[in-house]
Amino acid sequence: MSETRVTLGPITEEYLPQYVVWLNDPEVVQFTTVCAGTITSEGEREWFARISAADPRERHWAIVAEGRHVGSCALMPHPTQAQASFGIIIGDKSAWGKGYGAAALREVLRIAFAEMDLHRVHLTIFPENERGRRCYARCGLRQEGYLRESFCKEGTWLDQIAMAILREEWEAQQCSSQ
Amino acid sequence: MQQSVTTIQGDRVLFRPFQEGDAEESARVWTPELRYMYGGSRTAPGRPTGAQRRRGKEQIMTSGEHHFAIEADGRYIGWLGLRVNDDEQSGSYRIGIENPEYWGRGYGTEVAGLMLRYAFETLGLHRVHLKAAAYNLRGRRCYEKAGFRVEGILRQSFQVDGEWQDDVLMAILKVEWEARRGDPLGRPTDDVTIRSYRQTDHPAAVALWEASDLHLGGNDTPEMIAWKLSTQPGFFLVAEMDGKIVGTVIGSLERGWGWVQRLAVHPDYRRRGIARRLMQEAEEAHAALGAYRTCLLTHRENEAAQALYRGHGYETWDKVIVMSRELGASEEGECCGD
Repeated sequence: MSETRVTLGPITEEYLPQYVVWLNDPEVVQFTTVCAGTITSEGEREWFARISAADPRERHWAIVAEGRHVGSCALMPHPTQAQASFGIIIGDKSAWGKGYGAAALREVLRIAFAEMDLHRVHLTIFPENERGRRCYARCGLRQEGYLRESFCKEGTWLDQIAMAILREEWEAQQCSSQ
Repeated sequence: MQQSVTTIQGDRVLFRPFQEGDAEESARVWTPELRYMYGGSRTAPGRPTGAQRRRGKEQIMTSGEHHFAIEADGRYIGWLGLRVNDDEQSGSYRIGIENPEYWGRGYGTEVAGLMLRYAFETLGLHRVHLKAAAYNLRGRRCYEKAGFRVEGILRQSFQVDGEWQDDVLMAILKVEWEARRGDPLGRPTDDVTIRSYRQTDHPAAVALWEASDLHLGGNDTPEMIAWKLSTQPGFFLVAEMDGKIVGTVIGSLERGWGWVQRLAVHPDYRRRGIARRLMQEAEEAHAALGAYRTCLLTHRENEAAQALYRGHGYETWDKVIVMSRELGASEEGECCGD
């Protein structure tokens, strides 16, 4: 089975205008906590300054597939515990449905468990995001919780699903895929 | 910092600002068990000094969350914090009843109840949640009594004395709290009676199911219901309020699995904990019949029902699909060549 491959690279300032376009596209941010129409160039520059100065263990990557910048993802470690939360956005709509999200997550899990020595990686997702749920489940994340009306987006209370993968589950996956 | 209300008086406890002497009292009553309940070591030597406890309290006071010292019998027994999230509509709760003399006596439940009134009435929040160590059973029981429901288990979330431990997520929504208001034991304030179904309830039950958009079938005739109840292990409970049947639940038993059907609450009587009561009674009745699990089928589109069940600890089985075949109905005759 040929595996889809992506490269995770540093986020540089040149990418910021692209993020402004993506994050203001209602279709792109539909299943994220971002409200389309609220992202400005100044806001993105502030975000970039913040992530550049943040805890060095906090990792943000640009996702590059077949030489093209298609999205970004991040891993935010807990301040004291051996765990981190994951977030991702594939902004380039022509890159959807090609497995790039799953490929990026697999690479992030490798970094989290093999390099950063974390014990678990978790995320939250909106229940309506069927494609995301399938992708995460394929990567080995399991549902751990259902948070009722836990996020207010544009005046509507939305439920969230909590998912996670443990180091031992990731290790078992590596053995079985060899 | 955010403190707008300075004191809140309950039956046995008083919420007030921290004051001189609290840190020393906090150090005096400290036990390793307290550290363990916060996810720290149970066995490590040493105990905090008054100065360390003072720094802890200062951290709480400058954290930007709403916070109070808790007093009972005229002395400091612990503290609580309620952090309002960036959305300004949901809050994270944390609490420490530090004096062990006040453990297991309902103080935590009273504190949580007062805190929730402050969160929902004074601050106007939509939801309050918390995270607790899964082994903190005393805490979990008191949060449950105050109306919090388990929303998830974070597996192997932290390490204590070399062992990985789970965290539990719990939450309560304002509508749920409103349905319970006035009763610290969590019964709806209005008078609901849960009792066994009687034959004369049948028309009212059918009307309720129709009002709830449940599909009626051959199993719902008075004769079928009477026959099932007399020949199979199971139960049919109704919730009665204002002299009317406002809720139903039917239970059956099959090889150790309890099944719930016809869980319905009249639209005018929802959001006050009646479905929750019916589910609890159904689970108890199942357990009494020897079941080790309660199961139910629900429509994929019925998200309100799913949220209720999930909030009650029910999980979806993604690995199972339901298959069926209609028997003896070939009137349409589409597949029978002639």
